[in-house]
Amino acid sequence: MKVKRLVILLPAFLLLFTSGCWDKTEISEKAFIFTLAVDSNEIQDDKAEDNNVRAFYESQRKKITAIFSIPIPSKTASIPSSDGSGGGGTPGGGKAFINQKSEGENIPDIIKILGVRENRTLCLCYIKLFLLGENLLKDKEALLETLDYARRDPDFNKLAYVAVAKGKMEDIVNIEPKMEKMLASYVAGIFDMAKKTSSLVPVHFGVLASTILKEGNAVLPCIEKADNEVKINNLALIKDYQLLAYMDGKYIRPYACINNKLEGGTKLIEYKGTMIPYEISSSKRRISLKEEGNLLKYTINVEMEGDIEEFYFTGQISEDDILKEIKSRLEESMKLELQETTNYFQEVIGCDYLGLGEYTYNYHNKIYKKYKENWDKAFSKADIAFDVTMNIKRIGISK
Amino acid sequence: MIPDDDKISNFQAALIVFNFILGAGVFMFPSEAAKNAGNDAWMTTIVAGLINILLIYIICKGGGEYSRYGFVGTCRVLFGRIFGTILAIPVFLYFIYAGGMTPRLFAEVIKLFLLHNTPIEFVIIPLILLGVILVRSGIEPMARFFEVLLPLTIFLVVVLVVTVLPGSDFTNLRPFFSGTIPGYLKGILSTSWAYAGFEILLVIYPFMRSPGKAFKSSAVVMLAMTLLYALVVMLCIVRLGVEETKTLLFAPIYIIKASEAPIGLVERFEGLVMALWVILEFTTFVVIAYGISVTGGDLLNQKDRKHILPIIMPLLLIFGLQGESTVDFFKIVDNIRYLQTYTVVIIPLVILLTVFIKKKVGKKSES
Repeated sequence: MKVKRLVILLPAFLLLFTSGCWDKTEISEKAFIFTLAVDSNEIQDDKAEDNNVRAFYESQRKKITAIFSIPIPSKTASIPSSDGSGGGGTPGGGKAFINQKSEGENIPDIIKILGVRENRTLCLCYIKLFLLGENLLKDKEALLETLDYARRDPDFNKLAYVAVAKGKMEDIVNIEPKMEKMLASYVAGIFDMAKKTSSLVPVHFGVLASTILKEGNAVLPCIEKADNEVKINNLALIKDYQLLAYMDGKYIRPYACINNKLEGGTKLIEYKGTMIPYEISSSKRRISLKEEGNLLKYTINVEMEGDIEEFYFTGQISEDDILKEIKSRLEESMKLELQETTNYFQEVIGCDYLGLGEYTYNYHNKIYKKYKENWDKAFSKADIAFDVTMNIKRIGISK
Repeated sequence: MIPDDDKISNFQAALIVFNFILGAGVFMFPSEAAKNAGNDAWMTTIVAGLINILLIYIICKGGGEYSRYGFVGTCRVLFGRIFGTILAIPVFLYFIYAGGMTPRLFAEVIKLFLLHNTPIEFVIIPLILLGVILVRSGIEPMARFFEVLLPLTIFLVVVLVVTVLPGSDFTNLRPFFSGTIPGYLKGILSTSWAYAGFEILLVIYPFMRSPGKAFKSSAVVMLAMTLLYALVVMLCIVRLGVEETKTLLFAPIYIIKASEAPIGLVERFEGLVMALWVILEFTTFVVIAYGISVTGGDLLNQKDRKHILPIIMPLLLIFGLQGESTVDFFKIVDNIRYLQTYTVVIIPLVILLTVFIKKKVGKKSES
């Protein structure tokens, strides 16, 4: 019995001292990357000229540039400012992060290059912001390689927000936000709040990967530098893994509405010289389709609920038919908004980003198969009508 | 008071079957199912589960008649000593192969997500050693261990659903019935392999207190597994879409990584899921190891079976280390299907037919 106990205790004792030897990780040996910004250097591919195998391929072409934004742990703690004016600084002053930049063939090559400059292991598991440069969106091959790395690596954080960096990437990653220590935390916070504002379309990397894999199309928010803050007010439209166009920010709300992703936001409506804000609390859309000859006729029913946030101080909104009239004007305005957005995508962009192709594929598969080969053309010619209902639920605490 | 006869109840037998089935297969089958059946992968998964209930019926009907002899004993009684032994050997080889493949598969997933630098042998060997220790104590302690784990398994499933469901797009399941018949058939066949595990019933019959009721409890388990597997593949498709599900090796782990945990729970939830999954994979290996010890002991006419596994252990390691890369290894795993088909379909059918014919002949000679 004693021998039996010894036999069981001995491996348990050994486990205490020998387990985890190879993968033992000290937290101070890791550099946690919060922002990864990648851009293409637009190098022409020489594969066609030379198909022979070479000895060394590392660092021969500077195909992409990557910037890793890493927080400095000792500086991420806030210290109260000396004049008591609120807002903290970093211990010892200076930035709370460093940006490591390098060029190389692809991201693993760049990580290897940075290995001789960085005293810690780069860790991608806590990436909050994944920035794609404008040049990367023009270089299909580099974009595909970058996306594949991010998807294939088991440690890459699939919940990282993805955005397009408009302008110089270095300018954006060097922004020191006022309310946060790191750009990634600041931008991630903006995206987290996006549901309430409907002025943004946040995209996680996991969502981007599954969307873009279908047909090579995706929609990404754009980040620009404005003073020492970020400006996120456009959407980048990607077609066949390349940048197609930038969409004006005013179309974001109707775009989200038609794609049934609108969850909040405020719409303004004019009523007798007063701009009335209508806060949207929910939005649903239902699509129906009829095929007439070679023409697709969509009817999109949109139903919204919301509250009135402001009226005229000396007026009483609950009187007579004021609410009815405001509701009617809201519906008309929203209908015009949706129609203008649809016309924009049909005539200017010429590509279906409104989810009508997906709807037709899911619910009218036989019809979709007829137009599958040239769906964008069918979309551009389609007749899309809207039927909008906007219910006003609450008017605040005053009449 | 638990009787000290090393026999298990029907519930415990059902748990053994449940824990054998629930292993690495649950992470790997969605991509194959989606490749063959597309959006309708969840339907083919349900059909595959129902077909496996039929196979369980065949095992229970045939094996139940001679349950006191065990599997090898049944073959020897029905087909003669020599021929019966020859028929039982491929089943023994199947358990050895499965016993080699399971730790390797476990190690591959662990190396990919958790232990990048640890040599694969040092992930496989502790699993095998621990499994051997548990199996040596007998079937009853094993079954009690599985009873303790049941709440953890249920917790894992609930957490998976709660984490992944928000933000899912159920229109990804459409359009329904858009695949081809050959695709559906291929999907049903490939998903059937993921349900493999109930063949352990062949082996544990002599250890059940009421073997006559084995089918009822096993069928309930298979129904639960069918629902679970259908749920897993449905969650993969609604979360990722069919195209991405097809391309991912371990789609369920990916969807947990790509989902935000509900407010109040930890971030990076996949760590907790992986920890619980390690236990489930261990139980799968333990059941296979038990199959090896019982079948091997019966083939070699051993009264006590404790020494069989330590002798077989090096073979398990050798089989487990076959295949240079993960891709090669998965190709080798496909080869095990022949032995699996023999164990799951052919030998139970042969046993059932022989029992049926013997009964008929017996009745005729009586009359």
